[in-house]
Amino acid sequence: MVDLNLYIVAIKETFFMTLLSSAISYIIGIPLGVLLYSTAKDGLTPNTYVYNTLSLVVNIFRSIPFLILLILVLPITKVIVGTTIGAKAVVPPLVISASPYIARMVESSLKEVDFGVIEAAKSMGATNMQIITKVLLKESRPSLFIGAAISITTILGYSAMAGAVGGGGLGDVAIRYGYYRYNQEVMLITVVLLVIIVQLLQSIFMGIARKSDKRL
Amino acid sequence: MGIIEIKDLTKKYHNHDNDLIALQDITFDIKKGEIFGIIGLSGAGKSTLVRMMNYLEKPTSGKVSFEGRDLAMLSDSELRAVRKDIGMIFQSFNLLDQTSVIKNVTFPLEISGIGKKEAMERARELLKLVDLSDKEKEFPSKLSGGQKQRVAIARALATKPKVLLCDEATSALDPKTTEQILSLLKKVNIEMGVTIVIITHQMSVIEKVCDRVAILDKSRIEEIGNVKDVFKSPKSQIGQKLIFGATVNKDVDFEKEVGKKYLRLAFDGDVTDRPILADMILETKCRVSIFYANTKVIEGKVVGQLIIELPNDSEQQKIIKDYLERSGVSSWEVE
Ligand SMILES: Nc1ncnc2c1ncn2[C@@H]1O[C@H](COP(=O)(O)OP(=O)(O)OP(=O)(O)O)[C@@H](O)[C@H]1O
Ligand SMILES: [Mg+2]
Repeated sequence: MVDLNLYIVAIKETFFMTLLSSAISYIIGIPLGVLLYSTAKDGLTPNTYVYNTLSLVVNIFRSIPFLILLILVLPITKVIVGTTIGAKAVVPPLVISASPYIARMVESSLKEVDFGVIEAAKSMGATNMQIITKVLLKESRPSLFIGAAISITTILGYSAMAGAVGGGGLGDVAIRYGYYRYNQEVMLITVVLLVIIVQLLQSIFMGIARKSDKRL
Repeated sequence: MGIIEIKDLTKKYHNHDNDLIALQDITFDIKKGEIFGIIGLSGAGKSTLVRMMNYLEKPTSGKVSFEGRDLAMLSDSELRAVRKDIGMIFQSFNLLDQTSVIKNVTFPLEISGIGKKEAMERARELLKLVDLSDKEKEFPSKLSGGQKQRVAIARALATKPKVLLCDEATSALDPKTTEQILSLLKKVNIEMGVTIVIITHQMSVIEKVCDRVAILDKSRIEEIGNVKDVFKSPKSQIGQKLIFGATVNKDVDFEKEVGKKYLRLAFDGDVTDRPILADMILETKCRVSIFYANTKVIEGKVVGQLIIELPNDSEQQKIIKDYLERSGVSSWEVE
């Protein structure tokens, strides 16, 4: 029998990794997404050079499999958090992997904003900064929350994967107790717990998205 | 001097390899205090033209001036300041969907750095003007098209602009709502002294509210003048087509009976306040039949044209022509 306490600690770690990584990734991803949107061909300040460069970097990071990235950035992780094992050590690779992904999500949410509304703001003498903060990010809020639901659950999935290299959390429990010790019960329980957490996060963010949408 | 002056304006778009000329050699002024209409068929270049008046679009060559200042010479921040003097409304309203009605109206004030309290007061005044005081907490999705456009008008007026540009502002609305929006625009023009530029493809909109009109066709201005004059005797072919409809165009099929003669009568507002045709028939005792009629009421006066079939007798034909001449109605035989 596996100690109940083990699960509680694992759940806490999973939440810690997921939420902290998501928060940091959004802090990085939103400005990147705004920059992608703004410098695109029909953006506020089109700049092909900046857009293409940024776009390439984002695509490169997005195409590296997470497990490989996790190992590649070990030296960076060591510098930032002082260790390469445990829940904390998973945060840097998660952030590096999720930020470009979130940047794309943000870019696509902003693109959904009707061009006419931006034009109207311009006609009122709004600066580009005002258009970004008061029009784009506000009008796209529901879509940004839907994006968050997808991003955060994806990050949760990645965090579980990090268990494979001693990353802590539910994935770690599943690997160590469920896989190596061939304990099917543990395997099953961790999977169920992960499903429940994904459902929970998904419905919270979808709920916020729906609540925030004044068009409905 | 006009409040907006446009000189030798040309706009080209580069689509792939070929150039598209959206506007060519446009020169005209919009006078302070007037309601100026720009009419033309789809693709004529109307939106392009109006978007150049606040430099949302920059001309390829030529000059746009607002109150004597060449917009090309302004810095970005000066241009933004000018835009606060030029309000704009659109066919699709372009309200902020995620923002309440009152916050939509305070938006231009907020971005101008005006305090919240002052902005709210001004917004409430404006919502009262457009008769939407009871909707201030609603969101745009809960409003009808006409209500949305009224919010847009209130929003466009928030910064106390001197000019209001309207790009097809009534095109998405039904006739009754169009009427309401047009009378609101007229009210804004008269009571607040705002110069208004109306872009439309509907002749009725021009008739109802505009003082002057420019007819745009295939990227050029074909005709410009007082609405009354242009409606009475449009000189350009496109003007005739838009005003009288296709029937009077020479190239349009006109099923005349062989041997019969037809007379076209042009009315201006001065003669049609009396029943000219009835008087003519009573006085000349000649029988005529109306072949085609298209008259409109402009500023309370009837203008338009009428085509009558003349009696066969040439004596009677002469009597009719003389009568019309004495009455001040221009008429000519239809070829
Ligand atoms: N951004 C653009 N890029 C390329 N071509 C454009 C652009 N904007 C307009 N055009 C072209 O310029 C011409 C005039 O367009 P414009 O929108 O001014 O017409 P309009 O008179 O407003 O027509 P409508 O009544 O359909 O709104 C059209 O042929 C259009 O395709
Ligand atoms: Mg148009």
